[in-house]
Amino acid sequence: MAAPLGCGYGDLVLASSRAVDDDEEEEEGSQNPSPSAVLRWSAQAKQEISESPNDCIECSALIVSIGPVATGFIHTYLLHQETEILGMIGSGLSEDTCNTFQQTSPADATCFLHRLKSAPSVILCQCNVDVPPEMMFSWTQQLFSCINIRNTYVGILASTPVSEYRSSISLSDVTVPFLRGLKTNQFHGKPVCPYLEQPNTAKGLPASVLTHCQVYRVPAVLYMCYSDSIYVEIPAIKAFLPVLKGTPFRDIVQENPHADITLRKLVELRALQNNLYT
Amino acid sequence: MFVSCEKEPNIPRGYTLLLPAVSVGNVGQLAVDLIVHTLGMERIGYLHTDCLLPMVGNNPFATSLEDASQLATGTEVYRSVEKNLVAVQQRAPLVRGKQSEFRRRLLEWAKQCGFSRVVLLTSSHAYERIDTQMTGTQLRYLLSPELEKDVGRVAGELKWTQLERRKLYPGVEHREGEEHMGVFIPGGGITRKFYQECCEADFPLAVLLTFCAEGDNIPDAFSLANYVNQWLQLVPSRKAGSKGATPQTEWKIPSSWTLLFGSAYPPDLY
Repeated sequence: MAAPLGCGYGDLVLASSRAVDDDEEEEEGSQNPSPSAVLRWSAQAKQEISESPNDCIECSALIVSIGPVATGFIHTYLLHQETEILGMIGSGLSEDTCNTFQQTSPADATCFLHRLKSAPSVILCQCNVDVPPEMMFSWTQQLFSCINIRNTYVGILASTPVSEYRSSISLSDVTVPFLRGLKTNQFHGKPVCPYLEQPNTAKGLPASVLTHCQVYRVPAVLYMCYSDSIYVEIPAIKAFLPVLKGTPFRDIVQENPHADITLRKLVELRALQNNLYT
Repeated sequence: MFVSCEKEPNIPRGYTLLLPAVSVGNVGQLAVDLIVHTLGMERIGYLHTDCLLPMVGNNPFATSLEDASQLATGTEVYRSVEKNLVAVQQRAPLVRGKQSEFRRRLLEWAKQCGFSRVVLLTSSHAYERIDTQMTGTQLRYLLSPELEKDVGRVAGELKWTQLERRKLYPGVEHREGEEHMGVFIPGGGITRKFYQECCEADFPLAVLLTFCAEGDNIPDAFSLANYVNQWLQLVPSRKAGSKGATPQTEWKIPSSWTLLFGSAYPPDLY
């Protein structure tokens, strides 16, 4: 008997095994080579890369936000400043999906790289695409392919359901949404929230980016928001607010006096998609 | 595939490589957890490849608050200089469709590093056991031809049971000379194919497995770890009370083994 949805406590784990069966092996031969993510630079970015001495874009801070809650936060509190689109990473899209640089609605399934005009060495990646697991590695490789990360701080924001959070404390005694952090060994500060305790783990695209940073010794911090709603809600977005006081955000944030209005419009836009038929 | 986290990568030739297979009950991985944590093995690098799904967490082998915040990635490599041992711990599954690529790269890396032998810890579905496997020890071993002579002798002295070969096509008549018995390890992940590939490549591989079902696999992990220890003598053990039983070892349980079956339930539910 499976536990009811959203309970998040003592979930009965059905006896499925993650062992790969031999039958799957036979499918491998017939499968086409797995597609890779592709990064497309804007014309201006291409020119900049070709003119740079090391074929890279200089970057002191890279902010990667994954999913609607994290991208909503960055859209409200950082992208209200003047920005330009440097490029996009295409993955997980069907062949007939149109993805152009003009699709700038925050609710569109896009993955753009933005740059702040007031701080040209700050790059923000807003990923609103569900990247398939087999493309996560190539997505990450593409992201770091033309960015000079030698002196870069990386900040990663993502969210996940609180039902995935394991704790000896009952979740009814915890205020939801809440933040937890992980950092690479090269990141010498502390996250602005508690560390993600064992036995909890982060997976998917946020884990792929943080793994890359750990392996290649880049200072990086991941902030994961645990939320109890499957919809994009203002409390979940605002749960990220403390990160604005930490590295690498505190040096680039400018106050947005219209933040609450932006948040309301964003949530209303997302709510249009939240129905039984999507 | 292997990325070192040391200033000077150092995997001396002739070491033993300990590998887990992602298999039923994750027993191989749990056993590697016990071995790495008990021996206090140091992390020396990562297996960074598109064949593995990404996963990160805090230090699963933390012993204090200071080292608890050390990041751990999905698949990491550890070394014990004292025991001439390198161990891989894989915490994330393989990407669908990349199993053969992963096996190929694993074998290539093992050859490059010059390991004297590879020990693969795995498990197999208990419901697929044949009659002779239903009783007695649930532990089995399998050796590639390169290891048959030396390790086969040790296995005989330890009174280990070799994994029984099974009919490849039950009920089908076979022609003279045609191979009809083979290795059958259902639920063993990469084990069967990796074993075959190591045999073809004349590479020294020992497979140690236990039959089990999905559930609370901690006892199976202890059993498999003790089985390895009987042979490799990694950790001091004391003789078991009853005749023929595996000697018991004081294994240290890592902090990642908490809440294996989910969070605590809300007390106000009742």
